[in-house]
Amino acid sequence: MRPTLLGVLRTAYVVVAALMTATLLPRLGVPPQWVPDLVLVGVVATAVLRGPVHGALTGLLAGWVVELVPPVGSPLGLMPLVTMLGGLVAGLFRRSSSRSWLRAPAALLCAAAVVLSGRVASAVLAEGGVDLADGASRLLATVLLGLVLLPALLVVDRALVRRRLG
Amino acid sequence: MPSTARRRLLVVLASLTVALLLADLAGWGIADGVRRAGGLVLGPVQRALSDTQPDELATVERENVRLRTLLADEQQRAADRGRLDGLLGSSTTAGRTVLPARVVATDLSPLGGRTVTLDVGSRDGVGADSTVVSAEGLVGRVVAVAPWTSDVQVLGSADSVVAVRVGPAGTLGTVRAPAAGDSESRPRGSLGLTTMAPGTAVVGDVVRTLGSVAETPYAAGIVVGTVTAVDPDHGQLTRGATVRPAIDPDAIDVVAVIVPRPRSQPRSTTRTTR
Repeated sequence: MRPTLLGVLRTAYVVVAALMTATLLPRLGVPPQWVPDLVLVGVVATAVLRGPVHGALTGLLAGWVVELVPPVGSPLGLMPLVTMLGGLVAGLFRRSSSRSWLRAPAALLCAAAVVLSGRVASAVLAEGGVDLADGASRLLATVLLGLVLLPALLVVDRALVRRRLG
Repeated sequence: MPSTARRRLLVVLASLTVALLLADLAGWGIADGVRRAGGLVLGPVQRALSDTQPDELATVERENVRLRTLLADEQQRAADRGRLDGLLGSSTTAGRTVLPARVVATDLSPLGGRTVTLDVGSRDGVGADSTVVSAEGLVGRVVAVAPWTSDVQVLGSADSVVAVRVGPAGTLGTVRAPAAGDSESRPRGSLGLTTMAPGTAVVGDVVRTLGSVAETPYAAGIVVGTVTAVDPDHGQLTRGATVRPAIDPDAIDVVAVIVPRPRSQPRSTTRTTR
């Protein structure tokens, strides 16, 4: 399999997004509960165009990148599985017939909810308690950013596929 | 890539992830290896990213933390010196050869009372049965000596008995920890004083050590405590009283071990004039 421009761009996006979420945004003074899940936005952008299996695969690999960016998550491997489920759910929103612009944000909302519930479940199991307000504000920040970012990502993706670069 | 191959790849990768998750939960070393690899590869990138703006503020904060640590150290040292000065200037050590020491360990005995360990030992010249004092008064006596440390039986231990003189008259008596069979109840942390019948203690009398041969185990004239209550007279041979120790046994810090100076010269006789 030959690496395509789209594949390279997607990998670069995931790595940069993971580094930004972990390092740059907190450094720039964004409060931790308002840091959006940039990686998930990229995963959803791919999943809504290509379906659940592709979405799950992308989610799994992207989740591993997030997991391996220090601070490395604990338990190791939970975040990839949760992101995989998020990608799978987002992939279920693929409709080649409908071109409504609301479809991608709705997929992002569902995927973010899956990721949030995974986080909450692991936090409850590990610590016995969780701050739901933090999770909800992260979800809101992710969806708001996705409203802006998703159309752009989809346009780039479609354009590259049309030029046989994806 | 065909759809079946992709599905197969997904299943393989997801199974690997689940296996790694279980390995991490089971505490196997392979998960730590993965973790270290992540830090090794991406850590430098993160460092480079977070150092984008080398600001004055971080430098000043670092300097601030360093100075704060220095200040705390100095304050601690000054407090120690103050305590030592207080000890050496107090009446309990006046005119005696003393060895300053500080408490490095403490142990509560199940029988009551307390044993503390000092940071001086036989190499420093501490001998068994030396008297230990603080600025307030008598602490106890050395019961065991090691080359660099020594153990002190603190006043109020179950088997410590101190011969004392009470009040201005100098009535003889003994001070010990309140025994379980004592007829009078005494407050926690106080000591029991027993005097012979004719002489009685009065509330407020200062209790001082009687002293022993060659200043061991207790040097003479060191404040033990103050009489706070006198037991009622039941016609016994001895009278009891409650003594509040001059020191706080739970907060002993800087102390002095009195180095005994045995007499080497015979005492000369004195002829009195008529």
